[in-house]
Amino acid sequence: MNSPPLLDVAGLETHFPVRRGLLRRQVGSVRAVDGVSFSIAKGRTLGLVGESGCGKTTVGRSVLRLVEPTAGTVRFAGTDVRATHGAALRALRRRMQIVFQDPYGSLNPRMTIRAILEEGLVIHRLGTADERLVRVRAALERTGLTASALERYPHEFSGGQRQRIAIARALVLEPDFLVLDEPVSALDVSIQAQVVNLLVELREQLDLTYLFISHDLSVVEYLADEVAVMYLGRIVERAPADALYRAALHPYTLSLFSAVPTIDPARRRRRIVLSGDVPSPARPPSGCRFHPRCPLAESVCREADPPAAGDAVHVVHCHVAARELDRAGDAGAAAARITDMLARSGSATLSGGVGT
Amino acid sequence: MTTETRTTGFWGDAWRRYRRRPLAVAAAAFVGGLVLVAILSPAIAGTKPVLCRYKGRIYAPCLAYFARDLEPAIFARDRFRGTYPRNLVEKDPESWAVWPLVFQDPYRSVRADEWPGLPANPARDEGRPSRRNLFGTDQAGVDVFAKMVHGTTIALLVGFVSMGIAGTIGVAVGAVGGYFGGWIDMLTSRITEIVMCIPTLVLILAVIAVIEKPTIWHTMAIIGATGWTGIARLTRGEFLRLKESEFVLAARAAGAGPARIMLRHILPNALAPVLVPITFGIASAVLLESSLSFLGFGPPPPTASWGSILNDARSNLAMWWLVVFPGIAIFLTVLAYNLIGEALQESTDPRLREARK
Amino acid sequence: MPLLDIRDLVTAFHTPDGRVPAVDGVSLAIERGRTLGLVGESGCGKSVTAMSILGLVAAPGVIESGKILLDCDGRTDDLVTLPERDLRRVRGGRIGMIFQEPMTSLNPVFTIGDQITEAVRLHRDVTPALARARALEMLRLVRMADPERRLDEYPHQLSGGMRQRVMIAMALACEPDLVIADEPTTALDVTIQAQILELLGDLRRRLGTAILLITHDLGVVAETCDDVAVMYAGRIVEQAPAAELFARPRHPYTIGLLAARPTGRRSGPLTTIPGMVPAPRDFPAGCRFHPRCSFARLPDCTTHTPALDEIAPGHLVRCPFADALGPPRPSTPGTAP
Repeated sequence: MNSPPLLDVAGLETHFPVRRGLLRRQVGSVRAVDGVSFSIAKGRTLGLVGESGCGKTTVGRSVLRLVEPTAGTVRFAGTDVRATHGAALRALRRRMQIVFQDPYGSLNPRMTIRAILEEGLVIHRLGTADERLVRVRAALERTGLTASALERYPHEFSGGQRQRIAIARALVLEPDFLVLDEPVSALDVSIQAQVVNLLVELREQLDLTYLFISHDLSVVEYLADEVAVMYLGRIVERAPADALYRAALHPYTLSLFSAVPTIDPARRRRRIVLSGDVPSPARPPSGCRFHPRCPLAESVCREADPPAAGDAVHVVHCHVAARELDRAGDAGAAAARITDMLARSGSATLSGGVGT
Repeated sequence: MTTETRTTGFWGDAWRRYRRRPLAVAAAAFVGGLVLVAILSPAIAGTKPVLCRYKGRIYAPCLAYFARDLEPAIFARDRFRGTYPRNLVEKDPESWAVWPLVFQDPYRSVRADEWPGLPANPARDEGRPSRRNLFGTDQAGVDVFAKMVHGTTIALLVGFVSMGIAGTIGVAVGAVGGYFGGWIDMLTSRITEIVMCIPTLVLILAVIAVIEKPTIWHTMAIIGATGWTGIARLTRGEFLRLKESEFVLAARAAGAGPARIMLRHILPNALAPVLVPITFGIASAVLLESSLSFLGFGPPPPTASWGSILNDARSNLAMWWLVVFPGIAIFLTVLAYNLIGEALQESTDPRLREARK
Repeated sequence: MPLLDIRDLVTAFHTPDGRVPAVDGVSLAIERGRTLGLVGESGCGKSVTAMSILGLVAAPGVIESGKILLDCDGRTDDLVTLPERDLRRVRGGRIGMIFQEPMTSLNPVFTIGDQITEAVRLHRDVTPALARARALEMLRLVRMADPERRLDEYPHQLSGGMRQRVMIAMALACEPDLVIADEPTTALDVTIQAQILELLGDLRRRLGTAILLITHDLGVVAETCDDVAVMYAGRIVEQAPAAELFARPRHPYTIGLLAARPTGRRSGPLTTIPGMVPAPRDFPAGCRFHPRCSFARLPDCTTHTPALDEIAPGHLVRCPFADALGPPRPSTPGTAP
């Protein structure tokens, strides 16, 4: 990863005002994204995982400025996205596209597939009508659909086909970078694999860079080069995918992984069942945001924000993990120690025990 | 690929479901019939020929019913004084004419022998419905059927013009408020609430009292200018909801500006729900105009309107036909619009649409 | 005698576009105290099967034929022919129901306490005070934090996981013999899902309630169910004890579903099932999976509906080639149409 990153996000914050009363006075703010930093090199895929409300979707939208960030910098190919306006922003948006989760909601039901795909080209005044049609057809065929779809409406297609159309719409502008916001979560299992394969194929053929947002850890493990885990507006752990899945350090990451139900008994982990619910991002807890649910929380966790620990590629924000890393020296041993501590904390049950 | 070969857009699909309701189809046919009657009214009832040949040229004097200027000048020069049958034959034996289906005039009583062998219209209590005067005649002996046929135009215009105005204002105000939000929304919402407080009926009466020559157009303009609030609120709601939808976000991601998003992405999706209150609004506008005319504040004579026929009945309630026929016409028209509105609501309901899949 | 015995159930929707057989000849049996997983993708008829059991199929759907036999202390009721009045006693009484979306299944204008109390009083002739005590007991049972306070709160004041606990409390309030859980954790996050699944398993062990778990998530089934039935296009294609099914899937659809799940780092494209899930009105003739099947494709498959054969004790497969298919082998990886 010596080449300069295509996307570089530093200290990103996106807060939504909470207004109340007749005069709509601002009484507080929801810190949906609260200090997030990451970068993605060209041609790589960063998986952003976390549970609902953790802010992962807002990160994706803030990067494209579909919602306005409150603070921080977003640099895309060397350009400061937050300082760009008007025509320059439009030009930038051509290179950064997004695919949404819900293939039913993301296509305008009153437009034909042709009009939907063509729109970006019309807005950016690219090509004549004939040239546009050529590009639209090419994008459609790339996603495995045929030109017969052009004059139809979205409701005539199944969920998987609509998601292909949404991907084609993103591709028609020939972007370098795609935000994929839960692109397969709404699809049936047998269709998910088709779309995942398509995304991998496109990444290789077109040298695309992905920010892959998902709550599905197995899809992220399959597809991402690097994974960042979010909790309540912050990234708690970031590492290359294989390192993270082999030796996660953060108690939240470990409990998240252990909670995923799996078919293969060999892959079953000791389940760490977290108590309680995710707190509201309008009133985040003090110190480490995970401490109210963390089985390993100590007094320091309630008071101080955990700084980054680990090396350049595997970063973790956790007081306990930092200490164990210091003690053990390498991530593998530290991860084993933390897993062991979690198992002994009493919150763990052997997964698969529910049915027997 | 998909196994479906039939491509239907939103409106095609809505029509498919609308068609399944026989009452609503009948209502739409009824309104379509009214439009036909309004267009063909001079050919259905009148005392001026639909077409005639006079002194070597062809004329259509019936157009005078639409606008007085359209009556060919030659007939005034030749002193026809509005009575065509005898004059045509006397002044040009070569002439011929195609007459309306019913030789009766909506603005005056037909005199004796105006049409060969036809006696004068009866007036007052005598004017009960007969073969000659299908719906009877009014106090002055004017044929009620002719009045009603020519009044159709007003019944339609009142609904469409006033709701056309209301729809335009309402959609524009609601769209701007809903899409931009913030202080713009606050402003448009407050304006909407203020207009909502204006009593339409009182305003119309006041304007009619002030204006020197009030016409039906003034009434329509006021109904339109005060009747948009419900539409604006609904449009605002739709815009608020749709501006957060993912297809709008996708359009923004593609670089689309506010105008494009509002007109091309949100408006077509917001239109169907807005059509419903517009349809109901037409019904209430028709009713309002009738009430006004009934109270005597309708379009001044000789303009024919269904409500003003009702007004005639007030002076002599024994003339039941002056109540029954226009009453039924108003009732059926209002009912038809309501049925159409209800069917539109059901056939464009997005939840029912998705259930089709 | 199993607790619930569904025999040849056919439930169809009569739409203006024609008859849509959402459930087409489903037979299932649930023993007391066991958990049966009913798995399938959208439109396969799994939820319609659940609604049929409760007699809650919405118009224009009707149960056209079949029997749904519920055993009750030696007496057997056929829920298909049972009068509505008796059926109401079954719903919420002998059969509890948990829905996918706890927010829409709870009435927003009543407190949690009101709703559980109502569930109790519908089926038991108890005083309001006793019903409230029972509601509190139920909230404790589902391990709701701070149950006294929750009793007087409204659904919107609770998180998704807590609402699902309330749903479970309501479903269990009258000590049903069977609980039908329709995608009970689909709307929840994985860590909350883990809590709820653990709770369900624990309650089942303590109360001996049988559970019909309807889900699309094979992982959830693998970790919670004793038996599994896989549905495809309105029919059961494979049924077996869970361990057997996941170790030795025999139907091409089950094999494909299991292979399509990503496991581990990418080492080549995922195995896919080509084509798409058919909508109930376009179910193909013959074996309904034949257009997407990557295994045997004899002419017979397109014309003849295969029987659900027992190829091993308790292992039923609707495919004449089940024996030959053996342990899963990858189909040719292909791109979808």
